[in-house]
Amino acid sequence: MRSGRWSRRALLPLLGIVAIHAPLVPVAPGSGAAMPDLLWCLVLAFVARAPDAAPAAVIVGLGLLADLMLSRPPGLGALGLLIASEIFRAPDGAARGWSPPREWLFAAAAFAATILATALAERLTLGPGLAALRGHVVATVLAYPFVALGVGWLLGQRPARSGTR
Amino acid sequence: MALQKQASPDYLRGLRRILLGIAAALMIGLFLLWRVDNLRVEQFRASLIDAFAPSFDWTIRPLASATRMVSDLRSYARVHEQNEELRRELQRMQGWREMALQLEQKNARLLALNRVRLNPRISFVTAEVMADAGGPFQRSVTINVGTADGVGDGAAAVDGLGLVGRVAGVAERSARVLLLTDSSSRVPVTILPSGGRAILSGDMTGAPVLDFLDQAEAIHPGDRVVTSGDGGIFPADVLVGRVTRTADGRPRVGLAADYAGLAFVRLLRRAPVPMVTEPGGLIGPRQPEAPAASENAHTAAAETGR
Repeated sequence: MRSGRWSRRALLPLLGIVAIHAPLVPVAPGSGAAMPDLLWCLVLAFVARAPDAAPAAVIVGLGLLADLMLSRPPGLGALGLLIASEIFRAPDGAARGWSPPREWLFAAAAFAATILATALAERLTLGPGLAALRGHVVATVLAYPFVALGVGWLLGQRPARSGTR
Repeated sequence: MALQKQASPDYLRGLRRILLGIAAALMIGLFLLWRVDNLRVEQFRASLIDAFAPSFDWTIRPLASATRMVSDLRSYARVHEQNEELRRELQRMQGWREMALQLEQKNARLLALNRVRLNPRISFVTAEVMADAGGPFQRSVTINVGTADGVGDGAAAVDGLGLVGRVAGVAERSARVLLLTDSSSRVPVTILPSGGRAILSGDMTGAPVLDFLDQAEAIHPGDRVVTSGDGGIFPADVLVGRVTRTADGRPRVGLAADYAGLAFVRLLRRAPVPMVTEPGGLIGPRQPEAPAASENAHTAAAETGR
């Protein structure tokens, strides 16, 4: 039983590192095709289904690693991820009672808000501009349901469940 | 760790909130540090990638080649068509080959006549593309050579045909090549045949814009664009691409480098060009010490001046 809990806990860091490395794969390096932010989908889907297996420290660590590895402005992506995951988590597991469309809507809105905030903060100097980021947001929003389904399947859990333990 | 307790007493929950607040403040601090002291944070980033990316090489490579295989399989459908096309191309190429051979012989003859010493200072090292930038904030690739191979910041990166970008950030065994399409890429270029100068600036689209044209009316779609060598970062006359005009009316450059199939890049290593800053020294027999030196110098200068 105990080993099961620990393997549940190890799942997020492992999958997180895979999600960070997936966009690094040089399939068509210079083409600049829009890619989803898989780590974002993964963390939010995880927090919505098994908050006890997704500690904030791990989320912060993954977020910072992703920011540094994926050449994004360091710190802001991790902060956005942390805030969104905390809203998902609190209060008293409310997010776990949400229906899948509502969950998706929230994840999409939170991601768009984070990207917007990052772009605004980057406007202090040269940033890529909103047009270049639009594809990224759309790709992530489209990827979310699939990642959420995958996480749900991995955790062996029915989608929505209300109330805390 | 207190961060991990979900159903816990009130004081633990308060502690958790405080720790989260501190973490958030640290992350904002990191962003500000990046803004203020960009160099150091980027160096840290480079060394992190240097440590991580090669260790994931074995996962990245099969995945990438599998994906490429799928796209290759798709092109099997058109194999007959392609075959015909290749045969036609081969025929044309044989003509070119003949011409190249003739030119090579002619060139060798002329060089022998001139006793020209060509500039030996450009050498290159070829690197494999290890990783994509993986995000919408930057257009760059990570390659598997670094300071250990003599590559420094600013080295020009080309593929078989044209300019790809320049090195921005090196670690010991890896480096980041900022592509021409990145929004912070600026390259001084010359447009041939008009000879006009411009700055090629990336804007995250596939075709960078020509800014600061000095002869805007003299350029036409199809003109060749090469680096001008101004600024001393890039060597001159590296092919960049051809001028195209898009719907928005700004002159852009269709890049010659194959950006979608970027697997290998060649980095030009260049020793700094020696600059002539002073007139040559005096030629003559060795002079004795200071007091007599000045008048001797006069006569020596008068002699060599003639």
